[in-house]
Amino acid sequence: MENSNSLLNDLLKKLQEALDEYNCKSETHVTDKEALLSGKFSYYKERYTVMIHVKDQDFNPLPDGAGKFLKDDAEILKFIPSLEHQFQNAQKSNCSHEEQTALKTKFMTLAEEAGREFLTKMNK
Amino acid sequence: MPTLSNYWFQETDFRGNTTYASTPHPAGGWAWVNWSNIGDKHSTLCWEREDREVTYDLVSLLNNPAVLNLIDNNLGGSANRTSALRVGWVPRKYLPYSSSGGPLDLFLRMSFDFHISTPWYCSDADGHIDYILVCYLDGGGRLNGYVDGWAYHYDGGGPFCTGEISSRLSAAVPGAIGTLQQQLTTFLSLLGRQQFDMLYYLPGSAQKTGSGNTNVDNSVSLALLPR
Repeated sequence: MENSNSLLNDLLKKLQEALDEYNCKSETHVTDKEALLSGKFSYYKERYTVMIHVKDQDFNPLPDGAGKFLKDDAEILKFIPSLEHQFQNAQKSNCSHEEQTALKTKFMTLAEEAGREFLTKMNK
Repeated sequence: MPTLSNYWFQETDFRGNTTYASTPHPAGGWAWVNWSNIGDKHSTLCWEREDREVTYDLVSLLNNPAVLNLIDNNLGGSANRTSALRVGWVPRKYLPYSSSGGPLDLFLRMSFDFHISTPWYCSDADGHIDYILVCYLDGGGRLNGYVDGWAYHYDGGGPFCTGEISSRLSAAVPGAIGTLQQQLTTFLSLLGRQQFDMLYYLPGSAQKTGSGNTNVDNSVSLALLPR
């Protein structure tokens, strides 16, 4: 990285010196991976622009990036809202499975008692 | 009286343009929705909503000057925000980075558009920045949340400026997460005493009656069942 920076700075400095001979005032911008030189000048009433882009051959910046900030936490994973696992929370609804089962059992006991009482009355 | 909400999504896995209808109905009775023509839709969801449900439209909640100033200050000179905040859901399998867990676990994506001006030798860049948030109830039924990740995408910046732009964004976008997390923690701690039985998201503004259209990628509401 240091070598690359030094090379790019040195190269642009030499290019600027060459452009100075044509009265071209130029600006440079150097990063670790690339360097830019831009300038404008006139020569016999014609106007010219100069753009020089030097970069590491393998440096191909993409117009997008993404990153994960935190590791997945197994403890948290089971609580994240999910369209797939919503049924796991079904027992927490207004009338839970346990409550519904208890209500059904209570009614069945009542119904059996009523049935027995009915049969007893029928047999009398 | 409970409410049945029915959602139809343009994309598979419950994404994109969303048509919805909500109808209150008597408990134990039919809830019905007539769709004259549901059109080009590829997934659908129904949710039976209890009377105790509390909803927060996250787009309205987060587009307030305090949050917007926070984001703008964190961007600094890196970019200019050019849109309001969008807050939609994104299933885990569509996150912009790899993440382990259920493919249809739901994350929140808070996003906005940006513009970057460049020197004369490059085209300006326009794109969007996303922050991925997680909300969940812990074992005690208390609301928690954290910033899980970030992403950006842009067009323009050519032919020479994409390196510089990507470099600035790759530093500035994750650099803002600490501040965002701090504000999120402060807000959630205000609700720390309340316990909830369930947390879920609903597309759009979570209307309880009528029908309409929204885009679940950009607009969701947080729904809670207080204990």
